[in-house]
Amino acid sequence: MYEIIATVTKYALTFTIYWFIFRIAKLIYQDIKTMTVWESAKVTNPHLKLLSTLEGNDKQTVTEIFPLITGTTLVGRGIEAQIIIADPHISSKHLQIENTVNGYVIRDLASANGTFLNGEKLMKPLILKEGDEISLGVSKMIFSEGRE
Amino acid sequence: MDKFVDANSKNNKAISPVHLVALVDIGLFALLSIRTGVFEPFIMILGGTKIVLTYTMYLILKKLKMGDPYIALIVALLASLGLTMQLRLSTEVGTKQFIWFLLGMGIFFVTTFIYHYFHKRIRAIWLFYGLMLSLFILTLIVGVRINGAKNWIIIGPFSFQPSEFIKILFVYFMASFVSNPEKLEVELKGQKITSKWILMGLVFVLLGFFVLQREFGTALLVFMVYISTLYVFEKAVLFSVINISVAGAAAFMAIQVLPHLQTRVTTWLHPFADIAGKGYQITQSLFAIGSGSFFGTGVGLGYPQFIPNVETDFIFSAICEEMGIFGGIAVIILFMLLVYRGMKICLLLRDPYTKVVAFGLTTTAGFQTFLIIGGVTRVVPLTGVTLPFVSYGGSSLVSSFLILGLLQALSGSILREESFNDEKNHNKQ
Repeated sequence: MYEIIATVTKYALTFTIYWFIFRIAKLIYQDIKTMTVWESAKVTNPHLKLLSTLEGNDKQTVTEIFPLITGTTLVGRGIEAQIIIADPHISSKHLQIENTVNGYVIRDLASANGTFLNGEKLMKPLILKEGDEISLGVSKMIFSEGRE
Repeated sequence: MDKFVDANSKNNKAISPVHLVALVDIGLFALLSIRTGVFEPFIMILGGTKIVLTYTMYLILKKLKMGDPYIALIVALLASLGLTMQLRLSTEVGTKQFIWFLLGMGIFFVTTFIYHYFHKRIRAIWLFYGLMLSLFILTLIVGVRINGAKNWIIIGPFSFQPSEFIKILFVYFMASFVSNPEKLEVELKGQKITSKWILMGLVFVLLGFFVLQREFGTALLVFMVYISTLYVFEKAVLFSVINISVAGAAAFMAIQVLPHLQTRVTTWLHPFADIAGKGYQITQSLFAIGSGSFFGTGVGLGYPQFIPNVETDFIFSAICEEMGIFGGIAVIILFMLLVYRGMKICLLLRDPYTKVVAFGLTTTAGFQTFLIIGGVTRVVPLTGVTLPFVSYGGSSLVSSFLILGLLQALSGSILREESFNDEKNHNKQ
């Protein structure tokens, strides 16, 4: 008697377990769909691209995209920053990028190692242009207005 | 029951995954309670407790919006399979496992609720290293040897394996390194040694301690987590290759010198050469998986007790025998989904420290699963690690639930805190 029950249940159980897996996978799929929309929104709006140099290789790759929305974005190593970069040569509050009527203004926050805009040390706040290269510590970031 | 239906789902008629977990529980526990021919209410009580706990956990996480709703559910299903398999092998062991499961759930809730209060304060790399070393030294002094590995500490009626907690501490150690590497820089005779080389030295000392305790499985696990963290967060390709070659050379030497390791490798390569002796365990495991066929023999109808250590290392073979290869594949898929969710949590976090913690915890669980499932199916040499959430063992279950609690806390309160800070900065303008 037990054998019959166990045999019937084993099919039912396998079915239920796979049903569970299917449900979870479906929910995850919906999740990914919304995430892709959010990822592409990041690129079409003004953003910063973080470049990184692979060890023993001069080729630079974009590792992360940080969106700039409204207000002020703080860049640094500390936990208060909106863009946190783990680089020992960066101050905890290194620089800020402010959204003004004239465009995005970059300002160095008296960082220890300074900020370089297109290779020149940033002394006073400047308005960022498409493709500007911001160097801080050993990291490099590219400013982009975003594209449609 | 309508309020339990997942709000995310477009089709509100679809059954929520939590009901499916309950359905599996009802099936498995009911089957076990009538296995001996007479109805055993005790097992039904255990099953009822498990179902009530699953619903409570799900509703708490859902109502308080404590982050990812899936990881806890996936683990709930894995735990059902594990618990019922233990109860089926022996009621005594299964009951003990159930008590550990209750303790694990408690630890899961405590971690989830309180972790975010102090996660910003614990970033001291030397503290974590010191803790790991003291656990090792404690084990070496008062440790007890069970099954060839001197890695147990016995206090009164309780025994636990410190290495299960060392692997979690190691994740925090790596996270502290990635977020503050300059803390490891040492100046020697005016020459600066890069923090990476110091890290490599420290990690190899740890691996040495593992080898002293004959814990090769955990050593391999910790090393895999170390390499993947280096590769992902430091992008140190060359450095990873150097590490792998040094460790590979050391492992090769160890195989030549230590007979214990040599046996493991030979039984992996030629299990059928000594089928009655050294190869007995692994061949019995292979026979069990084979006899299970597609749908298994049915719970309670196989002979998994022929495999030595079936309740700890070889639980996957027992599942394969009684629930079939479809059951086994389901377990693997469940772990894959768990790892996927962990990686998703890691990607959503912004602070490098918590990012590494999420990544490290996920890879620890993932690699551990790979090592033991690979071990019992003869893909990789057998190493004595446990299958998280399924294998018998108090330390293993508690540390697995600790990992789950930490991931849940990272996905809930900490992610929320980060977005809350964003909002605060917005409103200031």
